[in-house]
Amino acid sequence: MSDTKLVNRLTICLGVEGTAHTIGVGIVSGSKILANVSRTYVPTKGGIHPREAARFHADKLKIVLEEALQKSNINLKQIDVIAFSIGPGLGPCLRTVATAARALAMRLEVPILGVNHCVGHVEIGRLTTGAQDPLTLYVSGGNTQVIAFESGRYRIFGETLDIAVGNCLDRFAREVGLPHPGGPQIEKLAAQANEYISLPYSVKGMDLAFSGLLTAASKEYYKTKKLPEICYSLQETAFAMLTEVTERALAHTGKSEVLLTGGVAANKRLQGMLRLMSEEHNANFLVVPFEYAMDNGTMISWLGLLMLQHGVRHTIEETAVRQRFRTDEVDVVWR
Amino acid sequence: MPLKSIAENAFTKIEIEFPDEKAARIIYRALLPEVNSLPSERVKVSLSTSKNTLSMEINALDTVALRAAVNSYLRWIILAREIYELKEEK
Repeated sequence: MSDTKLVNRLTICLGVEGTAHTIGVGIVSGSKILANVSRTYVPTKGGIHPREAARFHADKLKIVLEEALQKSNINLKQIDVIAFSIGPGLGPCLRTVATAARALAMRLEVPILGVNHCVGHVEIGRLTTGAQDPLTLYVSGGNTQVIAFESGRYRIFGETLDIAVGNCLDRFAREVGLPHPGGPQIEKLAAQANEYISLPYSVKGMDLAFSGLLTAASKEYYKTKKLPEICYSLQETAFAMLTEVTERALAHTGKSEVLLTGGVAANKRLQGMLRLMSEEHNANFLVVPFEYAMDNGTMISWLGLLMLQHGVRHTIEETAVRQRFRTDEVDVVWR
Repeated sequence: MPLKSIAENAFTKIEIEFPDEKAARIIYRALLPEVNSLPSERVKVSLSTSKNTLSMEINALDTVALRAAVNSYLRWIILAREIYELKEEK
């Protein structure tokens, strides 16, 4: 397909997301979202086993794909390009999605693009909130990064040195026997308490560390069993840490918008803290709507479209997955 | 002292027939980046096509690794085929 043809009419991109527990397919046409369908793997016990999650993705991909096509009322033949999450993420999951995406692109004889999952979160955040040039706090089960656009790339201004904040919350919830998903459970219990129990606050320069906090919160639970108070303290500590590094990055970059995204963005307490901080800096505070803040295929398709329209091309052979793909390794040619 | 696995070296060859040469070729190309980026030294995979047949040879240091590789690749082949056979019209 020639480049002129691709640019002169509304290009339809189908994107597949599958870096961790969610398998998602999104379809965009121009800047219009036509469909966003996903399924999330819920382990019966313990955390996400990469092989089991990959098996789930392989099982569900066809259904999710067909549902997305049906919802957008388009036919496979109308798809102009396939995008997929090439990284970062869990190896078996990435490989499963990559193989399927390649097969689909070759079957339809359309271009394929492997896109960065974190950059996808930022770009769909901009599209759905109208944010022009935000400082983004991306917080999920697998990632915790403070991101801002600077000199042609999305730079990481701060990040976790060990585990993601969502991982910290999920593991604490699992440890104390709360049902899955842990984050909302902790939020609910935290709202019932207002006694702060001192827990380790770990900000190192522009970065954060959560595993000490997780250990201390668990120990405190075994000692006192005061679950609502510990949930409250865990949230207050973790979210204050996040607010601090976001504030520092905001002051440094001078951005006028703060964007919150990722699965943990749904937490109202975190939203409240960040909103207050943003207002103090005369910055607009924006939260990405949940269905696009959590892992989803639409962000992959939207990013794929942006890349395609600005001349990025990948051959099938160039689509090997990248488990440790860094946000700042992407050349942001579309901005 | 580490447990010795049943086999010191484990090998399998799997041949899969597809309805036509194009299908075999596409699924081969879809899998190739995985074969070329194997995560460990414990397993080596090689793929080839001949007309409508896809052949896969897996060499592993032990049967545990062999089984894991066979499971992964078969799952990917099945998925790729499922995708390839999607109907264009409703």
